[in-house]
Amino acid sequence: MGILLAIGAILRYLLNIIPTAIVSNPIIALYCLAIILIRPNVRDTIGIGIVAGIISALISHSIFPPANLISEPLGALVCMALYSATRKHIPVAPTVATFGATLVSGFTFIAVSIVVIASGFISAPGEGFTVGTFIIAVSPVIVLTAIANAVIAQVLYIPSAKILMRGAKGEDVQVRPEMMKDESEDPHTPAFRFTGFSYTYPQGTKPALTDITLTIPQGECVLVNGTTGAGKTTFCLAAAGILCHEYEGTMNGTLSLFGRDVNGYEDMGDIGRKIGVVFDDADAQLIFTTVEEEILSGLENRGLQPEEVKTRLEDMLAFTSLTDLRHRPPHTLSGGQKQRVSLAATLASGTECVILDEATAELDTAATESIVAILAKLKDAGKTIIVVEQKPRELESIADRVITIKDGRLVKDETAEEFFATYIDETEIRGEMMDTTSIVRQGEPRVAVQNLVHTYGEARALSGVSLDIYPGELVAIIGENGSGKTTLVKHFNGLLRPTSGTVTVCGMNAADERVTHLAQKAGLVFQNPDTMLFEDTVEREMLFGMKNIGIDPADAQERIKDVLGMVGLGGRSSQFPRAMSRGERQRLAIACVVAMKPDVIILDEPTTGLDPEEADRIMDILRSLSGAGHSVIMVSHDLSIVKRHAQRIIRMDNGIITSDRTRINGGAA
Amino acid sequence: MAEILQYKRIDGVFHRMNALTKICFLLVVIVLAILSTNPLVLAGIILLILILAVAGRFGRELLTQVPMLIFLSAGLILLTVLTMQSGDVIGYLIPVGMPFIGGHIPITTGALTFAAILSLRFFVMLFAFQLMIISTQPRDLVTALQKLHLPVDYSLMLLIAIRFIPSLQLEGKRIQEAQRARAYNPGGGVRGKVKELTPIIIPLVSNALGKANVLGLTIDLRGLRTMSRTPSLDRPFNTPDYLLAVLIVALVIAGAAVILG
Repeated sequence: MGILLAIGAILRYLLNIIPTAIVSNPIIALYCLAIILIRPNVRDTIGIGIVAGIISALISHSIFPPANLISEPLGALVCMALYSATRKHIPVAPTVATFGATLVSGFTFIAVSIVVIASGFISAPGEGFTVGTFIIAVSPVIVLTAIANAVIAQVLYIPSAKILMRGAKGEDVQVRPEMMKDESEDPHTPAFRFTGFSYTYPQGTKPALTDITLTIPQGECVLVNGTTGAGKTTFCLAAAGILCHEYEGTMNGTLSLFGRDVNGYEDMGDIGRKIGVVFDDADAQLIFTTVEEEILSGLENRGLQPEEVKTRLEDMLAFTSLTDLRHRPPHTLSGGQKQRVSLAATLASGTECVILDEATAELDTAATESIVAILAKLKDAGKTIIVVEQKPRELESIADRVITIKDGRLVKDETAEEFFATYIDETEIRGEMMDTTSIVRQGEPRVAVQNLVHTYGEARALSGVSLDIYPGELVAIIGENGSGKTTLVKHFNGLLRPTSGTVTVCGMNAADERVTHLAQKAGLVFQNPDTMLFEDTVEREMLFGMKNIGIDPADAQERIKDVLGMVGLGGRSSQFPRAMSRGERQRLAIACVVAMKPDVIILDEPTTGLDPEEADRIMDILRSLSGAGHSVIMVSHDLSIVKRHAQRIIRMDNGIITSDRTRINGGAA
Repeated sequence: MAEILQYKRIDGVFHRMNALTKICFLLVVIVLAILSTNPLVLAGIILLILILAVAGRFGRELLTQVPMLIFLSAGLILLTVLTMQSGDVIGYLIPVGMPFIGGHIPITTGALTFAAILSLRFFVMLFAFQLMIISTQPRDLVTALQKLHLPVDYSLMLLIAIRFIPSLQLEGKRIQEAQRARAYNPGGGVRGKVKELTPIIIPLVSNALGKANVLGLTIDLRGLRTMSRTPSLDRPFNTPDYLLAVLIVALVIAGAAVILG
């Protein structure tokens, strides 16, 4: 809810710039959306209204801003009442609820303002002010605002509801299994005991977990293996008690956590004393505004003495190598640093078990190693650890046991030694690597970079980079987080302009061309596909880019068919993009750019968060694109995938190219 | 909107104060700003806040907001001139000399004064809020709000709204870049800004909802909703608190004197 209010606040503040924006109030629209999505009780609805009122009052330039403190809670209540009354009867209930809430909020605001003006509390706006003229003047504005807000809420409701998995089917259904005997007093009780455990999501047609029977003793480090969509995350949610206490859906079988039935725990706070979870989205787990505060929030809730809190804070900062970052705000940290902070904050709560759900998915080698080093220390301290990881080899040193989940079923349960004895590392493609500068090239380069320097404020991100990229090349730019890889490629389509030096793309000076013009020659696929996907069907999503560059609609349909087939999404053109798996969304993002037929295709970390199988599928697509003559440039921190697929590898460190090598006489492994 | 509403670690006098003192100051300043219709009084309050910010060593942080606020005020003045005629006419938005359409939309002293009051009030409120947010750790703010009997869920909601403003600004920028990289050009001006909203706001809200799930679980698992903090870590009332309290009383007296004539 707070997040939606933050968006509302940003938009409200920015819309102040636009005189015509008097016809929308994003704060109202977004708190209505939140109420519609989460359907809070009356007390929480009033709370939402009060917080919205405080934020509105502080960024409003209306005649009497505190009136928001009355108008917004009333609006929130009306929204809740209207939505509750209409949601089962009409499909446009969000529209009705938001429209009504905005009207009530708006007219309440006006009524309060009139009362304070009439009572002489504040002065009237102008000499000719009368209550009648005031109401006549503002009424159309309120009605227009209500219409605009209703449209915004309804438009946002459709994707939002799908994301939150709420809907008519399976809603409010949860079948809870019978309670197990309490064995929590037994010091040797296992950390987790699943017995015939199955779970189906509210909108699911088949179980996400089926008949899981598994016992994990205390102090064990378990690696959870499986492909994307196999059920690993659902397993983690189950183990953390989240499915039982927070999710709707159907559950069978039993689950005990540290000897106590999962249903025997009062709430998630109660479970949180035993089990901590680190999710893959590092940013969303950092609630406070400095690293130190984040860790303190865990320590201060343990009833420790102040001196002990201070000592443990220092210990935790040292344990997680965060001492130097203690005063930094979260949004200024790298992905690896954020994950270390969220791990530290979780550990600060003093839990006996930590579950990490792909917590290292977006991290480079060094950052992953630092997390693994912390886990090794935790293991030595006797903590139970469950880790979901796409790259098992990185956890070989600490894993005791590996379980494999496939289609929601536990298909293998073996010791780490047994697992790694048969685990096959992917092989590198054949061919000799040699210095690119020693290779004589024919023709003109598609991308030519000369002495490129880029600075952010006083920080130098690129320090004199030079390189040429030719048609048909599949180039991987590798390096640790912050080495300048993404900064470099953003110059290729004009999102960044050189501080000095030149960048030429397909004969155009990238420093002078508009981004929209360069986009026709150099397409960029961002790391997170959700950054770009916003339409309600795959087809519309692909049409968006093509329409922007003026492709004929008939030609566009042909391209959609071809490109979707190429990326393995044929026949999926009417699907809702955000309902697809991460790998499919990534392939769709690539398809959207490829359909625009740029000569140069740039991909920022295209395989991040994907299992090896899906990552290989993406890389096969990139190889076929380079085979078709495109210059394909990928930024990656995943050296293993780069070695297996790229023909040319450029390594960057601290804003400079430290090596540039090309494979000759090579072929696929 | 860069760098708005964020706590900044600075070794300054405001950072050492108890959050309750700063909340009282914020409330008094807001009430004074609302009650006053004198642009000079409002300008005086802005000056006072800026002096306090300089004393607290974060004057620069407040001043970086000024260009944006001036831009906002320009829009507000234009809107007021378009919709309000009061007092003497001092000119026309469409100059008299223009053929056919000249001499329309009068600019009146009443409209300008009213717009100036609203703008200055907006400056006051945002600066006062910034003064509190920049100098108060959210943890202290939540504790202070609880002492004022605001339920912890409400305090956390406010905390999260404030905390995520910079993160979502960055996310919005990334989304904007991603759409521009797809050759999206909504055009300039008001129409462009409005057209730009759909491809940006839908991913922004969708991604935020994805975060909300993880955020809610994290709050519950860390037991933050109980907020049973180790009590003696509370920031004690010190000399700066008492000095600000004196200033608050002085402001109340001065405000009463001005308003009551």
